[in-house]
Amino acid sequence: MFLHDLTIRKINNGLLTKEFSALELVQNFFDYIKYKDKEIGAYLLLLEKNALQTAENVDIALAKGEGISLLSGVPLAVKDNILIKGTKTTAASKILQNYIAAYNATVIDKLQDKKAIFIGKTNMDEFAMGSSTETSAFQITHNPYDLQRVPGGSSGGSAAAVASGMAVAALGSDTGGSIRQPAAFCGVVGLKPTYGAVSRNGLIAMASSLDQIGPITKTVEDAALLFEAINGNDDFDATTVDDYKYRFSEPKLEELRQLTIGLPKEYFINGLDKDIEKEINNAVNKIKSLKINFKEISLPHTSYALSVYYIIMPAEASTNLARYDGIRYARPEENFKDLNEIYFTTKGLGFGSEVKRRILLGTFVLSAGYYDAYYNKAQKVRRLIKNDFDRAFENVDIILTPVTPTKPFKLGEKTKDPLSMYLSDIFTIPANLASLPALSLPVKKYNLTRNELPVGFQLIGKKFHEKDILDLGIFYEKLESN
Amino acid sequence: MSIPIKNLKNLARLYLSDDQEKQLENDLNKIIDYFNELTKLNTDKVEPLSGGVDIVNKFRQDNKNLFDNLLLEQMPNKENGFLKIPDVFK
Repeated sequence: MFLHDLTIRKINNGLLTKEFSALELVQNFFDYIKYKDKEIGAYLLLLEKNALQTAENVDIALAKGEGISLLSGVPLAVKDNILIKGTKTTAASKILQNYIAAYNATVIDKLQDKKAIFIGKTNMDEFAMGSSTETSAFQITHNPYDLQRVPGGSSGGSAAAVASGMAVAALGSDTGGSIRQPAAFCGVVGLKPTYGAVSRNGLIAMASSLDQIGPITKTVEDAALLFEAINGNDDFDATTVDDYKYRFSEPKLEELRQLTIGLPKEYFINGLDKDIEKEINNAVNKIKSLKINFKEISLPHTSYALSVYYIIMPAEASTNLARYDGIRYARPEENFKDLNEIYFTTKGLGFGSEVKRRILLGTFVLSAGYYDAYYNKAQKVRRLIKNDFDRAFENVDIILTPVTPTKPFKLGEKTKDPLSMYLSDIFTIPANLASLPALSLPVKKYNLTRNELPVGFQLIGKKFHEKDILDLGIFYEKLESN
Repeated sequence: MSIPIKNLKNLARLYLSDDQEKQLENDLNKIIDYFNELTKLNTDKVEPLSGGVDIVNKFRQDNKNLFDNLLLEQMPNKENGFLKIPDVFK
């Protein structure tokens, strides 16, 4: 069976028509991973025993004639900042290298109910802080399209696993682009849901007003199906909304033709790589062939988004990471003479340099004397950025932009200069600040065996209008495959 | 302006070696400089945007949840089901 071709529906079909059993399928994946992951380094941990057990349960259900769900038996990779009860969950940090998750994330519960298969936990930037997966305390992940290049980050392991056929789909998390940018770098699809659409219960928190869990998949339809399975109100996350539940329905071209797509001029500026600009224009022309209208729009405060994000996110992260103090769990083996020593040493030994950088930055912008000039100011500009989108969405329904300013860069290329790494996020950050849903999809179908680097484009939708961007993405893909 | 790194590392309870401190001070000063562009914007009449949603006062029933063994097992030092720590007050 060719693992690379499998999608959620193909697996469902294959199981129902008895083309293969879930056990065979999952065994095939583990065989392939043991051969392929030496080269890629996507997985931190494989969950073979549980995966095979769940696969057996799927086969038993099928044999008994019990119905199975679309996601039953589907091999998923899970970013290692999402808790699966009883398994090691590290957020790719030394500080959590022995931490065993004490409960399931809500999204894991939902997928477990559907008998989806968790193949393993994937590599990421430490505590999701990074755009290349290079700050992981444990290993490097390589881009399947060019092993000398980064897979993007912070969900690089998840994106690389899907792109190289080591998982059919994956869960990632996105705070400033951490699903969308690695999806673009690895030629796969990534969706950051509207803030409040997916529960963050059981997601190791980075920036609580920005984080979202989302799918990374081979096709937009798979992203829609996985999003359907994980979205919804949750009592354990007070920031989830209770009046929205996305359900997949076949997209209709007549409905799409009622929509207008906005092209914000501030995103198509001089710094954009010429190849990327060309590919995005190709994507725009393809969409025009569907007879959907475009309009030029302006999002005037775009250039300030990077500063706003790198003030607000570290501030929230410094608060969220304060809990890793060695008191209730994850204390290093040492003889401590007092509380302070526990705090300083646990953090000093456990956190990598990017994490320390952001904690200190966050502490700075929240501290007395600086709070007003930085944190408060950033929150006000965040309002201006959100207002830009609100105004634009009075005239358009979807906003189309690049995902990344450059193609996947080489390992080690940006690690010496933090600011140059932060600049990778300029096109993805605004959607997090404005709490909007955003989809990253490849401009065309890329081939691992050809010497090409993937390019993605981004569709940003109105709040809770995932249907608009997913539907357009599905039609775009149909065009591509013709 | 120079970032007050010694004060910050104490606020964050974060141990730094001398080398780390110097490097981070350098990095952070460059990053803070970049933020100065925000001063170009007039935000006098703008309300800060703090959250991702507009939800207020979302309540649920005050139910007792069992404290899982997995949580207790990972406590570094315990006694009779309580977490044991060094003196808070000296």
